[in-house]
Amino acid sequence: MSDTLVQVIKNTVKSRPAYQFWFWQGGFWLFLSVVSFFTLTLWYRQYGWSYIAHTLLQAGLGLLLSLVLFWAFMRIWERSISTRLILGMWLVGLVALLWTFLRMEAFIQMTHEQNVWADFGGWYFGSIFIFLCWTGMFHGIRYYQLLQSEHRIMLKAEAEAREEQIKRMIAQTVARDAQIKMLRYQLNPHFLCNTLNAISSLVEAEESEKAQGMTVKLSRFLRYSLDNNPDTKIALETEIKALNLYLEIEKTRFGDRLQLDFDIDDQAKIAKVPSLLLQPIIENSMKHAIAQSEEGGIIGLRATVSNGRLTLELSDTGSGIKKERTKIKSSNGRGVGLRNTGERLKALYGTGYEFDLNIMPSGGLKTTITIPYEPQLDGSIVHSGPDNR
Amino acid sequence: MTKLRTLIVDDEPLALSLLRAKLNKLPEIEIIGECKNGREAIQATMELSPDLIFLDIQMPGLNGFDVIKNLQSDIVPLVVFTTAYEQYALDAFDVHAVDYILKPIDNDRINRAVQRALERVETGEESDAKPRIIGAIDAINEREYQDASRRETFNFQPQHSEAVDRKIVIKDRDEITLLKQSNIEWVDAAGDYCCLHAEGETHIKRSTLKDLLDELDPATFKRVHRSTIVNLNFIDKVIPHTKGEFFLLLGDYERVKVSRNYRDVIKEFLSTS
Repeated sequence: MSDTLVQVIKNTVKSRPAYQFWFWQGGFWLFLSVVSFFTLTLWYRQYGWSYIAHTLLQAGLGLLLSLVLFWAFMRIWERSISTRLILGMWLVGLVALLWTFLRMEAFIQMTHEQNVWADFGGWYFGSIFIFLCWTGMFHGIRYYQLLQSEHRIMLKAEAEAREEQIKRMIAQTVARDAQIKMLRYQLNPHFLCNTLNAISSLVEAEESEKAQGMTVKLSRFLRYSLDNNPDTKIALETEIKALNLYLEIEKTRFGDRLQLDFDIDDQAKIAKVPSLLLQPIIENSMKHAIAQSEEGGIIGLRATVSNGRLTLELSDTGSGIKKERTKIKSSNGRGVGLRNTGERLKALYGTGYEFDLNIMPSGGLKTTITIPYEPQLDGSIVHSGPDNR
Repeated sequence: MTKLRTLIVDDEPLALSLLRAKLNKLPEIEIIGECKNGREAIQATMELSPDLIFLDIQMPGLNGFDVIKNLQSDIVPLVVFTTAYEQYALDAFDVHAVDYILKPIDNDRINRAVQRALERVETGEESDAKPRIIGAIDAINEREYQDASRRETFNFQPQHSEAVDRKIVIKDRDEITLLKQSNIEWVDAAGDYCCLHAEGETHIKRSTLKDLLDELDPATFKRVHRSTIVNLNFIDKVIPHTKGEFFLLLGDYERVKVSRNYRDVIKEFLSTS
C-alpha cells in the first residue's frame, strides 16, 4: 500500500517538475515539525495534545509564509545577484519575524503558558535559520531544475544538429557522386578518343571547316559539363542545347546511323531541370542502342507539361538483337548507369518524382521522368547556356 | 615487293576513312576491302582471305573480339586492333603480343603495326594470330570477372560413358557450362584454347584440339582444316570455292572453310548421306 503510494508520488514528481517543489515544500515543513517535536516538545516534557498541535500549526503557518517568500523570490529572480541577496535577506528576516509573532501568539493561546514573550529572541533566532534553510532549499531545487532542463535542451539540440549533419552529408555525397560520375561520363575515354579520331580524320581529308566545327562543339560540350554544378537547375532548353552539342558530335561520328526525334512543348522549354540530367540517359542509348545496331536507330525525346508536372520521355530503338537484349536485362547492362539518375532525382525531389524504365517490345528502352514543373520566369534562358560564350 | 592484302573494319565512317587515308600512303599495303561491322568482316575475310586486318573492337552486333572468335583459326589473318579501349584490355594485348593501335590513330603506331605484320609474314608465323587474341580475350574476361566471383576449380570429370548425349565441360568466366555434343556446330583450335561454336555462341575452353577430339564423337565430328572440326549433322550447304576449297554452311549464319587437304572428308560425307 505504502509502496504504491511512494511510487505514485515518485512518478508524479518525476513527470511534472512543478510538483517537485510541492513535494520538497511539504517534506521540509513536515521534517521541521518532527524535529521540533523531538527536540522541544519531548525535551521540555510538554506531553499535552495542545503542544503537539502547536508544532503542526506552526509548520502550517511556516508553509503559508514560505509561499510569500516563494512569490517574492520568483519576482526578483531576474535581478542582479546583489539585489537578490540584499532583498532576500530582508525578506527572510521579515517573514521570520512575522512567523515568530504568529507561532508565539498561537503557543500562548493554545498552552496558556506565561512569560513566553521573554524568550522572543530565542524563538526569533531559530525562525531566521529555518527560513534561511528554506531559502537554500528553494534555490537548490530551482537551480537543479534549470540545470536539468538546460541539459535536456542541449542534448536535444545536439542530437538534432547531428541528425542534420548526417542528412547534409548524405545529400552532399550523393551530389558529389553524381558530379564525379557525370564527369566520368563526359570524359568517357571512348567518347573522347573516338571523337578526336574523327576530328583527325576530317583533318586528314582536309575538311577543315567540319573539323573546326567539331572541335568547337567538343570544347563547348566539355566546358558545359565542367562548369555546370549538378546541384543547380537550368531551363530544359539550355539542357537540350548542350545535348545537341553532344549529339551533333555523335552524328558526325556515326553518320546516318543516328537519327533524332525531339518534340519539346513551348511550356516545357522554360521548365527547370537538374543540369546534365538527360545526358547520361542519352549517352546510355548511344552506347547500347545506336552503337550496337548495324542499322542504327532513333533517339527520341518528348517533353510535356500537364497538371503542374513536367514529363520527360526518352526512348531509343534498341540494339536490334534479341539475344543482346536478354543479356542486358540480366547482367551488368544499362540499369547500372541509370541508377545514378534515380539517386540524383531522389536527392533533389524526395518523393516528388517518378522515374520509370521500360523495355519496349521493339527492344528499345523508354525512360520516363516526371518532376514538378518549375518554370524559369526571368527569361534568361541562355544564362548558363553552352552557346553564348 | 609483295603487298599485304588488307581489310579495314570500323563502324564509324570517319574512322574508316582516316584508316584508309593513312594506309593508302604506305606502299606495303593494298586495301582489298572495307567493312562497317563484324558480320561483314567475317564474310569478307572468308571470301577475300586477306593477309592483314585492321579491326575496331567496339562495333554493333559482333564486336572485334567476336569476329576473331567466330573465324576459323585456320583462316584468321594477321590482326591489328584499332581501339579506344580500356587500359586493362591493352595490358592483356601486351602480354599476348597482340598488335593494336590506339585511337586517335597516329602515323607512328600504324607504321609500327605494318612493320610487325611484314616481319611476321616473312618469318611465316602468321597462323598464331588467333591463339594470341583468344589468350588476350581470356585474360580480359578473367580480369573483368575476377571481382564478381572467384574462379573455383571444380574437379569436374566428364563421364566417358557411351550415352547418346555426351557433354563437354566448359569453364566459362564464372560459370561452368555443360555443352551437349549434339549442339556443337563446329570447333577450332587456337593454341592452348579451343573455340566451341554452339547455338550462336562461342565458348572458349582451355584444351588442345587433340584432347578435345578424344572427347568428341568421332562419327559426327570431322576435321575439315588443320585446326577446324565440324559437326557433320549441321552441314546445310556445301559451296565450292576457288583452288579446290569449299565453304560449309552450318545452320543459318555459320560458315566454315574446308581446305584442299581435307576435301575428301566432305566428298565422303556427300556420297554417304
